[in-house]
Amino acid sequence: MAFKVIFDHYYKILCSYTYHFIQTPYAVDDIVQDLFVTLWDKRESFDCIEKISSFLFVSARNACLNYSKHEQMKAKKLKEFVAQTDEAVYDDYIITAEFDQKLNHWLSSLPSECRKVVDMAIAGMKNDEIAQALNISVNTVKNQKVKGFKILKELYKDEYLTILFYVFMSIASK
Amino acid sequence: MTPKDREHIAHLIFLAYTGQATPEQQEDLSRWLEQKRHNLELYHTIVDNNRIQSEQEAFALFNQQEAWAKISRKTYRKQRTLYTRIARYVATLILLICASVYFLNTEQPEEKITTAALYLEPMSPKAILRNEQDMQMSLPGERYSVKDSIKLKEQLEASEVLQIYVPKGGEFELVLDDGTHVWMNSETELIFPRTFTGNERRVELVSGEAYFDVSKDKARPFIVHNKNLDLTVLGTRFNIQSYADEQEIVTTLVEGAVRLSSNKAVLRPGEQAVYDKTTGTTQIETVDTELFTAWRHGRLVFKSARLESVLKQLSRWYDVTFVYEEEEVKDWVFSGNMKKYENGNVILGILKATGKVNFVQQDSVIYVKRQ
Repeated sequence: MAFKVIFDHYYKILCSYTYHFIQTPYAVDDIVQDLFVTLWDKRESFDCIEKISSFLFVSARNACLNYSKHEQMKAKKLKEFVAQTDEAVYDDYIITAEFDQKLNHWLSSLPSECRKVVDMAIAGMKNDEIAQALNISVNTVKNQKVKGFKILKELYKDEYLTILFYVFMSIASK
Repeated sequence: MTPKDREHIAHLIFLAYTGQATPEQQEDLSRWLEQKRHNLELYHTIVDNNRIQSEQEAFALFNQQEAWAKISRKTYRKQRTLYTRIARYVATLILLICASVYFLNTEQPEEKITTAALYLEPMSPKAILRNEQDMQMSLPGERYSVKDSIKLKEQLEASEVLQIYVPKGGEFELVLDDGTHVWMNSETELIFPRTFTGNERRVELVSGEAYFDVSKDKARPFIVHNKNLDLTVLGTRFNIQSYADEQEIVTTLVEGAVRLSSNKAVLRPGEQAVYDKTTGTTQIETVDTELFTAWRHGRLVFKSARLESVLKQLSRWYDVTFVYEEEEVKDWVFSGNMKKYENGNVILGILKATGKVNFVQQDSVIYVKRQ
């Protein structure tokens, strides 16, 4: 239960985080899956979400470094890793990844017609341009956008759920 | 920062980006943005559309369901044992959660869909084609050639004299009958014949800025007519800026030769003529032409330029108005070379990062303050 919530929240974030340094999707997949299995095995040692979060990111970083010993990692990327010991840089990565995850979560929750419209709107297209590109009326575009934002609000409600689940998680694992 | 803090900030940025933040949330975000210059930079990095696009593509590479299936297989047995151990906690907590969500929801005020603060509408490359009878249509795409104009309305097409208007925020490339290319900047109006007849090629730049790449034709000089000034050329590249609301007409020659009607002067490559509309005088000086033609490649380049002139350019690109809290700020001098971003706030962010100026947006008005 709680484990699934943690997984849902962090899986893609960790993938994108890891993917920055290892541009091999299947390797990223393996690394991230292992992280969760390890988290599961060590679950008793975590008493709060703070620890889980830092465990996941620190382990991801270490796993990348280990991987790079086998596969030559580009020097530039390696430098970025070193820079990450700086707390602020680390925060930036995670905030960015959290943002991307939210956007991805929202976009992938949309019905395909609606998603097309929202994608274009996000890319900066105006209603009439979207209508023209998709060969639909401006009104349909507007309706799809309203629908998209309604769904966003639904998801936004879940944000509270997530936070409560975190609380639950920390109680449950004690 | 705790994970909760980071999630909170990411959430605020996400809501602002999608235009779904409540005024309180916008306030909250602004406070964070003002805390450190770095926060603002991070914000701009995050909402950069190019970055978002490539990141979303990366996300699509990973299949969450599949991964969960694999992880579940590896942890299944262990999960079950824990599950029974905590089952009773779940039951109690689900009740609590339901109650809490309901409570939190009633706390939430009705949200209106508002556009987020700190968000400038991206420019749209749209142009309007008109004829003398004032028939008009908007041109699709970013380029129009009088020769390959099959899709246009027939009547409009048949008109001998045409006019293209590029509104605020737009940018457009026009190919004339003789093969001359004209790049039109925002808020620019140009009148031109469908086909050039007679012994000269004549177009009228009513107002605005355009870069001409004129096809060579020694027999027929190319003339850019303007209320105040005529430019006569043979085959050449040059930029002319002649906005109705500006005091000066600035002609910058990149290649070839241009003759000005004002003082019969001939410009050489690399020279710039500045014509003053009120005094009727012309001054010629040597300049770095790149500074005046970079807009054509989607760049904003300025060197020791007054803030007011930089922001005037931005207001045309992004269709916003700048209001200065102090006159003095207008005269502050900046230099820069940057990309014309989809979101104008990236540019404002860079200007802010100099630590001198600050911008506060209210709808389409941006207040310029000292930092």
